[in-house]
Amino acid sequence: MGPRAAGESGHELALVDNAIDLELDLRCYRLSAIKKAAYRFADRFTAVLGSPAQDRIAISLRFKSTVTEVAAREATRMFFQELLDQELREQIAAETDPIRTLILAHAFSNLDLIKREP
Amino acid sequence: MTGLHARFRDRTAFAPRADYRLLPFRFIRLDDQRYVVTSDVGEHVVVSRDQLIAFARHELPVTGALYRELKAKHLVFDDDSRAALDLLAVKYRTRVAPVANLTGLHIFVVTLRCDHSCHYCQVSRQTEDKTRFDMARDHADKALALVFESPNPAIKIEFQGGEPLLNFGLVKHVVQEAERRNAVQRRDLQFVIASNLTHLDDEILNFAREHDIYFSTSLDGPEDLHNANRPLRGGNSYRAAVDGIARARAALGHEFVSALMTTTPASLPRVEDIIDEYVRLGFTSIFLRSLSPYGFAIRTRLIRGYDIADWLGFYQRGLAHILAVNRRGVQLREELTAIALQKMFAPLGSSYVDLQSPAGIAIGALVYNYNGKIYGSDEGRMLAEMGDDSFCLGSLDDRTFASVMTDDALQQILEDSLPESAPMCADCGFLPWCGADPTFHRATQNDIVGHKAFSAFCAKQMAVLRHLVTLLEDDPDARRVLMSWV
Amino acid sequence: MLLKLSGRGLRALGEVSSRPFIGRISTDVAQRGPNEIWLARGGAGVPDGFRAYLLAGPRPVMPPRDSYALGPEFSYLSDGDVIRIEPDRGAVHAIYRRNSRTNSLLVTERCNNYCVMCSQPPKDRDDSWIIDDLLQAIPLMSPDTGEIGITGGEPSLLGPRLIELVRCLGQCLPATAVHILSNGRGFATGDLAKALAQLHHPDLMLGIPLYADVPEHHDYVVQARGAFDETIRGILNLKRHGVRVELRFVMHAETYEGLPAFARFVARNLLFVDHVALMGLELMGFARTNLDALWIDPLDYQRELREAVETLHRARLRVSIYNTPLCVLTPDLHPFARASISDWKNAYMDECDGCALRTQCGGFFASSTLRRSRGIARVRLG
Ligand code: SF4
Ligand code: SF4
Repeated sequence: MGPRAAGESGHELALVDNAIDLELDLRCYRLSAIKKAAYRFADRFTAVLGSPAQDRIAISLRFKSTVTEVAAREATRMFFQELLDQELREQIAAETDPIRTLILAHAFSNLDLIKREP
Repeated sequence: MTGLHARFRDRTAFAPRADYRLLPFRFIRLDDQRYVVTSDVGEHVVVSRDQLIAFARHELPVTGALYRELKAKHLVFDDDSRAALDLLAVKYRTRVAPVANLTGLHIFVVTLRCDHSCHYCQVSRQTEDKTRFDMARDHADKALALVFESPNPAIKIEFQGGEPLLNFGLVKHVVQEAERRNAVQRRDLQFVIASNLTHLDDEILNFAREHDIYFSTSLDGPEDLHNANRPLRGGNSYRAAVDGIARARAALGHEFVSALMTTTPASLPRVEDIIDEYVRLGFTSIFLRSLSPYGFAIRTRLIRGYDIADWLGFYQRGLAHILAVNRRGVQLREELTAIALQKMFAPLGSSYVDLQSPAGIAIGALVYNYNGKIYGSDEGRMLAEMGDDSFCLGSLDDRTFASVMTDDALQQILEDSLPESAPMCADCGFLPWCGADPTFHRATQNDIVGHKAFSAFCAKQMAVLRHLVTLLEDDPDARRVLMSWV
Repeated sequence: MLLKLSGRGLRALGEVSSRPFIGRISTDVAQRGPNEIWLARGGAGVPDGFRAYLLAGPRPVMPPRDSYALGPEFSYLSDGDVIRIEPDRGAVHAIYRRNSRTNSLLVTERCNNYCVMCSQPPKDRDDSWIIDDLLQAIPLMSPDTGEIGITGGEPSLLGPRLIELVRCLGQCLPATAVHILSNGRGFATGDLAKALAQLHHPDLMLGIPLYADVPEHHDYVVQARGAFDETIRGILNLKRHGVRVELRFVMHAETYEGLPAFARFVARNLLFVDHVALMGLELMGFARTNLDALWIDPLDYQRELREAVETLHRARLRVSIYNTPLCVLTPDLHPFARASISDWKNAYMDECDGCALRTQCGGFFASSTLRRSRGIARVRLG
């Protein structure tokens, strides 16, 4: 496997025993992002995560026995997209969570809701 | 354009400073090219992936149109726009204001008896046994006491069944008693009877007229479909419904009668016919509902008869047809769509119970069942009919409004089902427009939160919202009609 | 008819006061008093006991102190009007006209905005005497006055003195609606909004201009960086304390494109305001200075205007269009149009003769002859 995550170019993906095995770079995707992306795809495959070693983590996408290779590859491709999205979400959350807390505190500190006059 | 006199400064003097900060937002893929970005309070912008990345990385040019839109919708702010935080705070509060009012809708199940034997009906009984399946007057009085303990300034009392008109005496009693109490309390009080209208007589109509009572009836579509869905022993239930609608309108006024349809496998290929039937009968609103997972429907495996993709096709074709009808100048709005649009474009959250956050349970509606039990939603009592009483909030014999609202189990349900803390929902771009439906997830996954990757509720929400955003973005004609429903 | 509200129309007939003073016009001898100014259109007899005498007719033999001959341009002055007289300049200024539907009190000429279309360009000089005058003038106004406007400059720069003024209005003229035109910035922080609210004036509204959904555009129009932020906070503060607020949007070449976005912003963020006024451009002051840059034929912004009105109306906001002739508006906007131009400002054109809409139409600012819409055309009902 190269330095990049296996499968990102698509053609390395192989469906073996109804599973596609990948290795992800934790510098690209933090663990929480990987877990959340896997959760979202639970209807298509069950992701079994290995334990992280250095900057890498093994992940096995286990499909139902009825899956076709084409469908499994497509799901894996979508999974990579989702990983990117999920990683971005984690970044945004890290950046904006403090301000959300601040605004919420501000919003509910005094409950004199501005009301429309009847 | 000619410039201003020299003593005025031009626009560049007022351009934002180069750096900006992100305000809380979520996003979700709209299609292969685009993303929907939403703020916590439900304002949205549709962007390309490149734009999304540039935006999140603080690389957007601050003088561009996209930046202006993001800033106006409070997805970013800069040194010049601290007021954004104040406005956001107000919007957060406005969104939860309806929750603070607590329960406005109160459903009285005055009887379970009914003369129809609808295939999808969750609860009704064909029986003459009044004592077992009618609500006792004592329970009705206790329920009324509860109703008026709610602080909501607007109160809607809805009579359901079975067929509530089979226990009209109790309906009358509740209406009169509620009005007596309201003479002092002066709430905005409204009554609705959900009825198949087969039992309308002059006494009922006169009473309804005197007390401004609304009727909500069932109409599943054209005659053959309606009759197939809703068999009436020894009668034609379609004829009875159409007849009843006409009589009620004549007696009360056109707008006093509305209709609800239930979708069955037989409805799926016929959405246009159903809509045309509504137009023919002069209705201005239709609700393209999906089949609920409760009661008979699930027992009879009706719900397996079609899956969510079929319903979506039904909905999309239906919406297209309704938009076409509107373009012909006929006013007809689709309620499921209107609720979603309301959430997208109006500052107040929706009051539709199934789509509330926190879950509409108890906060949106309380159901007083024929046997004196209290439920947090109509679906909750239907689930109870299937033997799962987890949404029961106690009995009218020993509850006050305050004790219902502070019930530990209820609090737990509300808290657990908050989408903000549910996996997948928590960072879903549709969250501000979505809701929690703990009853549905309890019924289908035996868990009030539910795994959204397997949830038909979630699949439906995503598909409907994607469809609507796409229409709003890409089809100006559709947008015009849709915006008029907000 | 255009009235001259102030000018050097007085000629002293004898000994006069050394300082300016304020009084109320009267033609009724029984009204005599230290704040009353006798107005005589003819006849010779001059009753005693008045503060001053304005004589349009022949000079009396023995003019009392503060007698003046009144120039014909002030012949409109009548019973109940409140005026200020500056003896040394021979100047008279009509502060209040009893028969006018709209009386505006200019409370200061200072302002912290510098709007590109300002009809009353600000002057940066100490004019705190104005409010002293007004506090004297208000008790002389008729209690059945329908509405009093307060304008500037920026009234909120007066701070507590503005509160004093509104209190005085509330006490002396409790049945009179008070409409303050303010840029709102002065209410952003501090206690001014609260103090205003605590007056519990029975019929008070603040008209606050807002020109865009984002600061950069608003700030440009009002030529003040940071103005948008303060105006928004001011509006929030005022509403939080229960003061009624009207938003005002002046439509011209530099604002019209933003109308739809402005409307969406208001419908989403400021749903609690009491009224939204969309106004045609008055070709006065800086609007004249910047005429070429600001003028746009209202016909050319009907699409934006329509969209904005739709958005606001759907959000159940009260919305009105002012200063725009009906014939220029698309018919579906007619229900939102209000005829409001103050009587001394409005004029009609030749086309208006025999126009079916004339009675409902606001007509024009007299100043609008500078530029006219292609859309002006007599409307005949078919
Ligand atoms: S239910 Fe589905 S669509 Fe709704 S917020 Fe949760 S993940 Fe998003
Ligand atoms: S012709 Fe004159 S009166 Fe008629 S609508 Fe036009 S401006 Fe108004």
